[in-house]
Amino acid sequence: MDRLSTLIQDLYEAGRHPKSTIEASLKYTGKSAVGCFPLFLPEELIYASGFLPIGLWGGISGFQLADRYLQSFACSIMRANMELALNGSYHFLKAILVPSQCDTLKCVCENLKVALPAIPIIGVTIPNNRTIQAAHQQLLCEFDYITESLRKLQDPSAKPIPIEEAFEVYQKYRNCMMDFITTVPRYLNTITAKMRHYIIKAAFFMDKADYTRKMEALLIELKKQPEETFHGTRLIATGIMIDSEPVLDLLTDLKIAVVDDLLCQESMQFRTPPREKGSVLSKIAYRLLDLQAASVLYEPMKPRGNLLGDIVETHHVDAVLFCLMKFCDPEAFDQPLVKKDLKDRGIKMLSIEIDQHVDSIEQLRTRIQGFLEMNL
Amino acid sequence: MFLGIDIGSSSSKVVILSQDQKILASHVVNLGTGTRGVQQALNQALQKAGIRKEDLLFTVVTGYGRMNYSDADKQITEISCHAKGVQFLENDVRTIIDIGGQDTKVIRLDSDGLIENFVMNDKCAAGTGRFLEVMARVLDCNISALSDLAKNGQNPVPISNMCTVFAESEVISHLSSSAAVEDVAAGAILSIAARVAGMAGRVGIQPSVMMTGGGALNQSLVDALSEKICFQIRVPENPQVIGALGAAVFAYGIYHNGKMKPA
Repeated sequence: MDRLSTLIQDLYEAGRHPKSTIEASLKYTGKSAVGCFPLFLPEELIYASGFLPIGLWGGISGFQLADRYLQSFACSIMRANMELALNGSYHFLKAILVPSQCDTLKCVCENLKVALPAIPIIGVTIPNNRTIQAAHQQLLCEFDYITESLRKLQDPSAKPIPIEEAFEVYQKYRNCMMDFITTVPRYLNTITAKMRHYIIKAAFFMDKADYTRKMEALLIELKKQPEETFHGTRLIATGIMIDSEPVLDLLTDLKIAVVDDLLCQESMQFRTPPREKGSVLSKIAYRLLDLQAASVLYEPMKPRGNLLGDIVETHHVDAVLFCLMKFCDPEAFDQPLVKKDLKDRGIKMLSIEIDQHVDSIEQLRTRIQGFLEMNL
Repeated sequence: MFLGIDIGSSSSKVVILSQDQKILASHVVNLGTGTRGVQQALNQALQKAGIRKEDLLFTVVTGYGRMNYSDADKQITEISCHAKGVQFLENDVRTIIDIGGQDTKVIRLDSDGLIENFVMNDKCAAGTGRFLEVMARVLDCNISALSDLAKNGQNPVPISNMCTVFAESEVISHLSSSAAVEDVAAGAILSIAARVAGMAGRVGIQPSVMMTGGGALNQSLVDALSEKICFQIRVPENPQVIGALGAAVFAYGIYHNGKMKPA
């Protein structure tokens, strides 16, 4: 296997197998882990406190315990996370941070405090009305609360570093990831939709400095390759996530590439640039306050459709793939607005439902294939 | 000769087209994907047409089980095939409602007969043939008897649950409250009609409307749905084979032109 294939395969497998990746990361860093619930959190604070932030994005099926706390119509990420919490999978975590970005998260935060009495659950209130000065002030107070909560948990394994240093590690990671997502469209045969997803996802389970080094090496090797011609359908994905292996396999099978995305689990983790001025804490706060185009954000003007339209036009792609998280109210509210905005610009959109614990995809195959036959 | 096969979840349909695009034979076997239904339907159709398998020039397979049939030259979705089959029969149809065993689809065509938009159910069985099967089982009859029962319902009982499982419980509850079987059957038909009409509303119904699939054999459902969508629904002579017919028309077109479009 050549160097590029090895680098791709390493990160791809790291994203596909969170458990072994986390174990390796804990061993590599010698740190204790702190869990981060979706969707957006100031991970730099955890990193600066000397812990290893780990993304908790569900990913299992066969729920037996989660129903104690969540109805069957809660989204599959939250049900999976609750199942993992109750079956002991999170016992290695020093603490879990849960943001307040949707109603289910707010409830789950309280549920976890009861369900996991041995693990500190740190609720993080992200202001809804993000454009007023008070939001910034409130978020800085929230940062104090997170930092203080984590400080109390520090043991000899914790290796705190200055927040400036942590921010630098994360900013380097974000810049590197933006380089990756702008490079991928030139290599859609090598970086399939499934590869792209798992490579990006791997960052949730690794030390960001380590991940960035590997990603930089991958990009150097990838850019040495001649640009590829892709004979298939090019889409932009949007939604909470596209984290369903059968769906990703289906896209590959139908010769569909994800050229770019506005997915909370993927590029939206690193797409928002930091502001140039202000303290590091202020920059971290504004990165959360300046987030755009996620359904869970309070955005009276709903810019998501037009932002997607701009991305579509930049990349000259065929359509937008709206990955509607099953039972996610904010996404369901956004979907018709996005569809209308795209339709007004003459851009086609296909909505598919994402449910992490469904293996049967034949109806989904028909819908996607039907869409391709109809439009392309 | 050109072969179209539609492998559904509960039945297998086959149509054979001649060189001059005449329907030589069609056959339906009520056994779906993963069974011997396809082979039985194919053998019967070949026998009716008086030809051998070797005489087939091109085969297109469609339907839920299309990915598991390896003998076809091409596989195409049932969405495209139903549109093609309907266009082959009637070129003024603008909306197709296909109620199959496991899927329900509403397809809107433009004035050129090309697919403009479509919706289909996800994994939920509400509004599909499966819903009718479950209701028929609870009422201890078969699907065609369910239609006859529903015709005689004077005061349909409301069945408010869209979920097939919950609706089944609701029907049992009505029966235990001594509701007339005919009224419960009529309520079940109205329930599925409301669900499908809702789906149809999402693509925007335009006349004329044609119904295909096994659901179209249920006259009570056709009538109830016509009333819900405020358009008279037409039903072709053999609604179950329209997908297979479309597949056969595609087979003819691809063999001669190498292209799927236009319809």
